[in-house]
This record gives sequence, C-alpha cells and structure tokens, in this order.
Amino acid sequence: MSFSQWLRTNSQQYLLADAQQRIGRKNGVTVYGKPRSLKDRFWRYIFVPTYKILPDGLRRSLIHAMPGSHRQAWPKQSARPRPPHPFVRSNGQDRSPKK
Amino acid sequence: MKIVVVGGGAAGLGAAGAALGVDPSAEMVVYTQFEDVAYSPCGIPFVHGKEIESFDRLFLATKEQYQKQGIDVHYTTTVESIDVKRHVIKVAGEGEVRYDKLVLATGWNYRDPNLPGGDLKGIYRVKNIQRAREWDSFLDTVKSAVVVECGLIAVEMVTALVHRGIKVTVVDPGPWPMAEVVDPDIVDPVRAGWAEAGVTTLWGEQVTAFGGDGTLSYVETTAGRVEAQLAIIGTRKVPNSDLARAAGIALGGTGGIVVDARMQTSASDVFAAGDCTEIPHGVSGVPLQGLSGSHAYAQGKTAGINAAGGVREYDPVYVPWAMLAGEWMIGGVSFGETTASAVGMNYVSGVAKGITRARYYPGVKPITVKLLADPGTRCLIGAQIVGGEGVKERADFLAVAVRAGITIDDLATMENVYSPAIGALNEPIQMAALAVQQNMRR
Ligand SMILES: Cc1cc2nc3c(=O)[nH]c(=O)nc-3n(C[C@H](O)[C@H](O)[C@H](O)COP(=O)(O)OP(=O)(O)OC[C@H]3O[C@@H](n4cnc5c(N)ncnc54)[C@H](O)[C@@H]3O)c2cc1C
Repeated sequence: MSFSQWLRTNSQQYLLADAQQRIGRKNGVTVYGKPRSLKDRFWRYIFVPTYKILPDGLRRSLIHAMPGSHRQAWPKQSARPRPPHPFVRSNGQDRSPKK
Repeated sequence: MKIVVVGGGAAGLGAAGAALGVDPSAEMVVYTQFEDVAYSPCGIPFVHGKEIESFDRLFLATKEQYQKQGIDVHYTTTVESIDVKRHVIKVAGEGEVRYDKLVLATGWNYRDPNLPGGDLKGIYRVKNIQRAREWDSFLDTVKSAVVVECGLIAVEMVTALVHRGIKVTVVDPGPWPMAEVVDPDIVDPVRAGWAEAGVTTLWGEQVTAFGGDGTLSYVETTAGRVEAQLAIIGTRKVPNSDLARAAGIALGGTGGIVVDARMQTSASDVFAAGDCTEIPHGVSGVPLQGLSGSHAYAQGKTAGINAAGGVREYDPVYVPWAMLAGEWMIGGVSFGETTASAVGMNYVSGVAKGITRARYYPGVKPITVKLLADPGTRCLIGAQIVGGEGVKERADFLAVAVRAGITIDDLATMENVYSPAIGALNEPIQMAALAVQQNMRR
C-alpha cells in the first residue's frame, strides 16, 4: 500500500468515526468504540484533532497535493452561487437590484 | 483497430457497446473471469428474498446477442498482466494478445476482513450470479446468519434473509447501518423496522473469527459467540486494480485507477472505467471510489467512445443513491451531516417531514427530507431522504440541483406537482429548504 493509500484509508476511517460520534450524540444514538490499539489512539487523539484545527484552505491544499484523479483534467464546476436572479424580492415586491 | 476490454460488468460492456457505436469496424474483445455477462447483480438480493422468482429474470441479453453485435466475449478467462509499452496483454490459456486500445473495467471486491476461519464453507460474498444460484438453495438450510459489516448491499441482504425466515445478527464496528454514507436520524426508521422483524444488531462490535469443522457453525465477535450457518460479507467495496498496479499504471489514494474526464489512465492508449477507478467529487474535489452500477455504465460508455476515437467527457460526481431497506426507501445525494462533518465542511441543515400523496389518498406514505447548504454561497451541497416511496426521483432531482449550483432560496420557492394519487400539496423538498433558510437566519 502506497503512502497516499495508507493516509487516505486511515484518515477516512477515523474522521468518519469522529463525525459519527458527534452526529450520533446529537441524534441520541450511543456510539460505542473505545480505542482498541495504539494505532487507534494515534489517529483518534492526534490526527483527528490536528486535522480539525487546520485552516480550511490548508486542508484543501493538502488534499489537492495527494496523487489522484482530482489532479487530472475535469470539466469545471458550474459557478457558485449562480448569477443572481434579475430581480430581487423585497417587501413583497420584485425590483431590479440597485446598481 | 483492435479494442480489448478487461471486465464484463456494467463498465466493460458499456465500453464495448459504445466503442462499436463510434467505430462499427473495430475488432472488439471482452475478457471476463465470470461465466456470464449482461446480468444485473443488483437484482441478486431480491431473488434471494423471493421478490423475484428466478435468476434468469436478471439477464439483460443473451450470449448470442453480443456475438451478433460484434462483441467477442471470452468467458471464465483471466487477463494476467499488461505490457503497456508493447500494447500487449497476457491471457491465461491464450498467451499474448495485442491491442490498439485497452479499457480496464476490472471492478471491485469486498474488502477482505482477513479473519481466522475465512476459508470455511458458509461464507458468502454476494456478487457472481452463478455462485448466487448455488447459494440460493443453501439458504433453504440456514437457520441463522451473521452479516459482517453493514454496507449498502448487506442492508439489502438483511431484508432478503428476513424474508427467507432466517434469524439475522448484524455485527458492525460502525454505530448504525451504512454509517459511511447515511445520517442516524435518516436511517432510524430502518433500524426500528429491523428491531420489529427480530434482527439482532451489534453496533460498535467486530467479528474476530469464523468457527466450525470445515463448515461455518459459529462466529466469534467482540460481543461474544453467535451461532450461524451463514456469514454474509458486507464490508466496503475496494477497487480491483491489481492488474493496473502491476503494469505501472498510476493509482490514487483510494487505490482506484487515476483517470481524467476522458477516462484516460496514466498509460497511453489505456482507459479505465467503473469501480476500479476513482472519480473526483463535484463539491469537495476529493476522489471517490466504489460508486454504483449506473456510474460504472456511464463511465464505461465514456471510456469506450474515447477509445474508439470519439470524444466524450465524464463529469465529477454528486452521487445520488437510493435503495430499499426493509419497508423503507432510503437515499441521498452528495453530503449528509456525517460525511460533511468528517471532511470539515461548513453546512446548515434543515429537515422536513411530509407525505408522498394527498393525506386522504390510499397508500399515502411518510417521507423525511434533509437538505444541507453551504452558508457562504447558500448553494445546496447535499441531501438525505427516507420514506415509503418517491425517494429515487427526489435524489436524482437534488443531484442535478447540487451540480447546477441551485441555492436553498431557489428550492424554497420551487414549483411542485400536486396530484392526490402521486404528490401532496406541500413538497417536502421545499419545506426542508424553508427549514434551512430559517436555520441560516439563526
Ligand atoms: C449484490 C449487488 C447489488 C448491487 N446493487 C446495485 C444497485 O442497486 N444499484 C447500482 O447502481 N449498482 C448496484 N450494484 C453494482 C455494483 O455496486 C458496482 O457498482 C458495479 O458492479 C460496478 O461495475 P463494474 O463493471 O465497474 O465492475 P464489476 O461488476 O465488479 O465487474 C468487473 C468485471 O471484471 C472482470 N475481471 C476482473 N479482473 C479480471 C481479470 N484479471 N481478467 C478478466 N476479467 C477480470 C470480472 O470478471 C467482471 O466481469 C450491485 C452489485 C451487487 C453485487
């Protein structure tokens, strides 16, 4: 297994487990899963908290730097948000947006 | 021109058919390890569950039809290696075979749980239709079964086994079924349905060994021993990309073959499609592997058209999905709360509970829609749905909405069909969008 596969497999597993714990708790679902090994502890208590405090931009650049299909040529995503509607609604009426 | 396709699944046959559409004079050879092509593996759980009476119904075309179409399929034949420099593959029993263009469509396998006793009889990986025929009669002898991890196919198998009157125990290190893709509130009705049907679930637990004397008779788990004559392997799908790796073709972090929008790999004249590849996600850009049969088919067509000299591009994916889980239909698009939280994506969500027909119309069913939007752009970034009906259509529609950059405000003011037998006055998508707007104001 290459480094990028090792990183992807483990980061995906532990980031998901962390999210499941948070979203599960919010929905009243008990999430079990005490750490079972040293590896478990590393990914849960060092990798996941570090990933979460990284600025969004840095996280994206790190993900982009990994080898994969995302680094090949793909059609561009449509503009986000789409160009605004020619009229805006305010006080129940549609008006042209102010210049 | 000689086009060789390795793989006779949705991607491989999609590629072969589309390539001949572009260049009918091409010599087209398909290799598959299986005894058949052109059947729908997706139907296997429903034959096991007896909703469909026979495996024969799952075949889409006959072997002769492929021959007539000009596709020379070599059944039960393994391609052993590829020499990308010499444009040659090595085929078991045939020796070296030359190609002008090669399409890899080698698909996926269940992740090997790698457990002691893994070679006992009674451990079933649902995939090949001929094996499924054999397993189907074995199911008549089974009293209790263990499902080892609960991915999408495993969920369908739980339903099938329950329909066969088999006592089912699900063992999964995750906290709820399909926890890699679905949120707990959305899957909750499915869990309740399973409890009612007598399914035992061991969440947060793991299978540690299979036991028995030649044939499975029990499964050891972190929660104790479970008697079982059958184990269904329901682990996540992993790409079958060994052939590509050995040929020096680039793989990504998922282990899937790296491709561009034309499904071109890192080797010249070699294309790849389906579950052996990885495709970037439209919103996050993160490559994904192990999508669905419909994705595999569309990617196969793209690869085939380009291999034959045509031009077609495949887009990043937004992954609409939907399925039957017990009495419920469940589905989604792109991100749910769990997956968005996992990648650290900012989102605001809103949930609406609605109905699928007019409240007085016979057969009306409940439906819950959850939408997620990016608070910065107000664009829809994902959805999750559970209901008695009408899930697939909403998932397809919402996937286009995410792809087109539709905002939550567009959805909150959407028009909708109201017709008592097929749709209620209030569309749950619109109601969920209103809930997102409200939560954004907070
Ligand atoms: C039980 C079940 C239920 C499913 N349900 C759904 C569903 O509801 N909806 C949906 O969209 N999809 C469904 N799928 C489809 C599935 O999840 C995959 O997405 C789909 O099978 C991918 O197709 P593929 O052609 O990429 O790969 P595969 O179907 O895995 O095909 C791979 C092919 O490659 C061949 N091969 C591999 N290595 C070699 C080699 N070295 N030499 C020669 N041949 C080789 C194999 O023999 C096979 O023909 C289901 C599948 C199963 C098994």
